[in-house]
Amino acid sequence: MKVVSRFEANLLRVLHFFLKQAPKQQALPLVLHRSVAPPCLSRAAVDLVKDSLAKGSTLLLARAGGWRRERFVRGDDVAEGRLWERTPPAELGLSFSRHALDFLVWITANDPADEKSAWPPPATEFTIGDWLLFFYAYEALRDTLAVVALRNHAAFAGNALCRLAYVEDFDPRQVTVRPDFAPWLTGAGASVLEALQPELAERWLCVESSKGLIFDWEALRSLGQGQRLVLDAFLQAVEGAGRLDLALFLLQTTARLLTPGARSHMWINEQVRGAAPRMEDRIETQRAALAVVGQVERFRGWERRARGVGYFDEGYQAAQLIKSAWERWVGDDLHARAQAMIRELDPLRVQTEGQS
Amino acid sequence: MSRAYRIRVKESLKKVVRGHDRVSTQLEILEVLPCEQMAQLLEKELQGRGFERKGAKMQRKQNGVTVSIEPDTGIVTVSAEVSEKVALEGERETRSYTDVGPSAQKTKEALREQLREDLEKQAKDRETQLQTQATDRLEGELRGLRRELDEAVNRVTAESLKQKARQLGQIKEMTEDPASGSLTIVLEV
Repeated sequence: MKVVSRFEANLLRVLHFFLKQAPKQQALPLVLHRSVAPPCLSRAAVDLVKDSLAKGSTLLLARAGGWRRERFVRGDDVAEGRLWERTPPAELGLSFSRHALDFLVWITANDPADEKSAWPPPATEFTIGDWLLFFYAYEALRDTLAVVALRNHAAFAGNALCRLAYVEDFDPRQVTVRPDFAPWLTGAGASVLEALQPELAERWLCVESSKGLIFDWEALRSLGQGQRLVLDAFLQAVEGAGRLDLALFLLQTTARLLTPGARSHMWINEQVRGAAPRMEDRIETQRAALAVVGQVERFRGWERRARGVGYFDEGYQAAQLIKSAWERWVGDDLHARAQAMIRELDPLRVQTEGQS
Repeated sequence: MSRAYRIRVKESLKKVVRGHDRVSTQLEILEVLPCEQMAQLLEKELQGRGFERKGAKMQRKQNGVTVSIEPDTGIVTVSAEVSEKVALEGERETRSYTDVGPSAQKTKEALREQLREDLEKQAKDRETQLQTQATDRLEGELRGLRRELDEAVNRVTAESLKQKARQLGQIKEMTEDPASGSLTIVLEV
C-alpha cells in the first residue's frame, strides 16, 4: 500500500475528478482551495499519478468512441475495427511530460480563478498526453468559475482539442491564436481524434442547435466567427495531412441538422436577423451563423475529388471512404439544402443556375 | 455679502458627418472558358448595364449606391454613403461665487467641456441617423441588384457556352428562351 501526504492525496483526487473517476463535489473544493505545494512529490505519489493517467485516459478514450467498430484511413489503406484493432496498442501510447505533473501541482495548490497565480510554460513543450490531460481538466471544470481564468492560459486557448470541442467558449475577439491541429492528425493524436468522433459530433450538434435561441446579434456573430476560425484551421490541416476522415463528424453533424424540414430561423431567428444597425453587420452575422452549414460546399469538393481517384491511384481506399460517407449522409441533398439556406440569407449571393 | 455671478459660455461645432454601409459577395460563375475570357465576357455584359471601368473594377453609381465588380475575381461590393455638413451651436450658463480668477476660469472650462461633449453627442446622433439612411438606401437597392446580377451571370454563362460550343464543333441549332433562361445547343462534332 502506497502512503502519500495530504497534499498528494488532494492532487490525486483532483486528477481522478478530471478523469471522471471522482465526483465534482469532492474535488472542486480542493481545486478552489489554496494550499502550500511541497518542494517535490514523493515517489509513491508520482507512481500513482502515472498509473491514473495511463489507465484513466485509456478508459476514457475507449468509452468515448474507441470501442466502436469504425473505418479510418491508415496510410493508403483503410483499417476497420475498434481503435486497438485498427492500430497496434504499442502505437497508441500517450506520453506525458513533467508539465502534466506541474499542472496538477499548480491546480491543487492554487485557485485557478485567481489571475495572480501564473502557471503556463511554453506551449511548444507539451506532448499529446499533456494536451489531452488539459482537455479533460477543462471539460471537468467547464461549468465552474475556475474555467474563466483557465481560458486565457496557453494550455487551453492554445489547445486545439479544447478549441474544437468547446468552440463556443473561446471568444474570437479575445482568443485570436489560430489552433494548431498538426499534432492531432498523426500517430497517437490521430487515434485520440478517432476515438472522440462521436463526442465531437454531439458537441457541434449542440452548439448549432442553440443558435436559433441566441437573441444578441453580436454574440451570434462572434460565435460564428469563432467557429469559422477553428474550422478553417482544422479542415486545412486535415486536407494537408490527407486525413479527411477525421473531419467526417462534421458531415454527420450537418446531416442531422439539415433535415428536409430545416429552416434558416433555426440558425438565426427573426429578431436577430435585422437587429444589427448596419447591413454589413447583418450580412456578416448571417454568414457567421451559417459557418458550419457553409462547409458542406467543401465536403462536396472532397467527394468530387474522391470520384476522380482511380483504382490504381494512390489514396483509392481513402477516397472510397469519403465517397461512402457522402452517400451514407445523402450529401447531394445536404448540399442542395445548404445552398438554398445560404442563398436565402445572403442578399447578394449569385450562382450560375445548376451549380447548386 | 456674497454674490452669485452668472457664467455663460458659447460653443460651436462644424463638421461633416457620414453614414456608410456596404456589403460584398463573390459571383460564382462556371468556368466554361478560361478565367481571362470569362472575365472579358463579364466586363462586356456589365458595360451593357451601365458599368464603367475604374482601374481593375467595373463601377456604377445609381440612387446614391455604388456597385463595384472585379471581373477577374467576381468580387462584388455594394456601398452607400450619405454625408452632411452640420453646424451646431450651443450655450450654457451656471452660477459662481466669482467671475474672475482661477476658480472662475476652471468653472468656465468645465462648462465649455460639457457643452463640447453635448455638441459632439448631437453630431453623433446625426451620424447615426445618416447611418440608418445609408443602410435603408442600400437595402432598397439590393433586391433589384441581385436579380440583375443573376441575369448578368446567366447571360455570361450562356455566351461562354456558345463560344465553347463553336470551339467543339459546328452548331446545328441553338434555341434560347429569355423568359426561362434556358439555352439549348445542338452540336455536330
